[in-house]
Amino acid sequence: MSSSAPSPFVLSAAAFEKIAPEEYYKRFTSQKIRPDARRFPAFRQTSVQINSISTAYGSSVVRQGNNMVICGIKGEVAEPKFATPKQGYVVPNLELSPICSADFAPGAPSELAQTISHRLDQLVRTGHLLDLEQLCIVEGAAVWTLYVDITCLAFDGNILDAALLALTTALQNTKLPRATFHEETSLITVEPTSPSTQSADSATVALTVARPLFAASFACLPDGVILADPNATEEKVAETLVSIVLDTSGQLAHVWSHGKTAVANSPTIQACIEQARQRVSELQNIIQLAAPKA
Amino acid sequence: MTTTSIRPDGRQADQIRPLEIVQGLLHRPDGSAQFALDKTSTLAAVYGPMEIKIRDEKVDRATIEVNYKPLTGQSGVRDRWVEFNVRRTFEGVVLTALHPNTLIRIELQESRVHGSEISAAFNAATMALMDAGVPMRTIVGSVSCAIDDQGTLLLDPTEHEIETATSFHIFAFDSEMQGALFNDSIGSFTPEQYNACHEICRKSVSKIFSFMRTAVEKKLLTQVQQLQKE
Repeated sequence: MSSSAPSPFVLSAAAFEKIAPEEYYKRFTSQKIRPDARRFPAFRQTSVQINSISTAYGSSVVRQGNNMVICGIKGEVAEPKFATPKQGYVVPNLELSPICSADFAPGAPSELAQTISHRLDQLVRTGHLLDLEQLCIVEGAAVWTLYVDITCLAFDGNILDAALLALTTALQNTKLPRATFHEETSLITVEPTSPSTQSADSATVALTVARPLFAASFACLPDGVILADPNATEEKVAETLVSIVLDTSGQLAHVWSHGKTAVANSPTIQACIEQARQRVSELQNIIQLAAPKA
Repeated sequence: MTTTSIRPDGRQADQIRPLEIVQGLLHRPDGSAQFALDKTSTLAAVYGPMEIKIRDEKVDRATIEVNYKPLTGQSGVRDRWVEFNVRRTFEGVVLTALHPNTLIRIELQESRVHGSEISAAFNAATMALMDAGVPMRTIVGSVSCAIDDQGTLLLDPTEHEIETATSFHIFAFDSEMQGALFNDSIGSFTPEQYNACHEICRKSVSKIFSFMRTAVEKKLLTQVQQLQKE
């Protein structure tokens, strides 16, 4: 009888993961597999849904494994800066509210949310994702400000990839209402539109994304293992995190590596860039499937 | 290397600006330092290990908090991004396991802004942590570089050089200088250009490290001389 009773010293897998996450991961990586049954270079299943918010100028919903982000774009007419009279503004904002994960507290936006928001802003401006001059209504007088609000509904790591995919696809499918400038009154009138009538309505201007950008992120573990598309647990056990952003021609737009050890040397980055290239073509296929039928 | 062009301030493409380090210039913090790259300068103060709020307490190591204040205006998303990266880097460098249940606070304040401020912030933080006597696995040195529209690599770029550049790269290395502890590159560039930037920054960070060493030696020497006088 005593031989069949389970020993009180045996740990359950869930308890083992909580107590020693690094060791728990090592047991899997030594077998060339991850706890969620993915191989090292495998990204989570990704899907994009376009323009499901009828009140926005453009929108998208991105699911990447257990991640889910929703992006909506709204516009406002604003005055341009004196130095750049033709350029409009794009204001990306990522919200990581307590609704999406226990890691985030209510109140001011978390450090991660602000970091990623800054990143997206830099990719739009320094990375030239969008030609800001197409947001010009009247030179020196009126331009569009696009508020790109990205809300995370479910968080499971690697939020940069999901947020950038949402931003790129939403901008690609944004249609601005036609704005007219009245010289006598120097006022701008914007014709009210709704996306449901947009396809037939000629009174809208479609945005063109000059340089669509796609991100691929990786987690480097101590023994040289590179995990693609890390989830929240994998990000925590990782020594170093690497993010690569590429355009469709394979040119780099952004490399970001940060962490505990200097594993992010050139060979590691090189391997990540190679994997990121494949991921970009994979994402292009996903976007093509999601594109609205003409 | 005959193609190196002279820059507006008379530097070669692969030359960093004159460095300046002052340690222990603030009285109240446990450690402080000012790190200057000519007209760019960042002030760092370090407090700790000190008492921590229960919410932020970690039972097996010290918590590191970083605050970055811009020279003018309200702090915004860019400053959170700097804080995130500085914190991530020093969490792997400071021997936090030696001081569990405590807080180590790194305060960074821009004091002059003329390009490559983030690198100055990393270097100032290292010097302030050293001044505070916080135990570290290694020291951190950072250098930035930009690529202009001609494809020329400009080491330690000024504000104007960054504005007109096609890409901008920040690297931070440990004293072994094998690979980057931290890297942030943005713009439009090829993997070959990226590798070239990594290499040029890796080579020149040794100058930062040797200057840090000289600064610490000088400080200790004056302390010894003062003791001998007494």
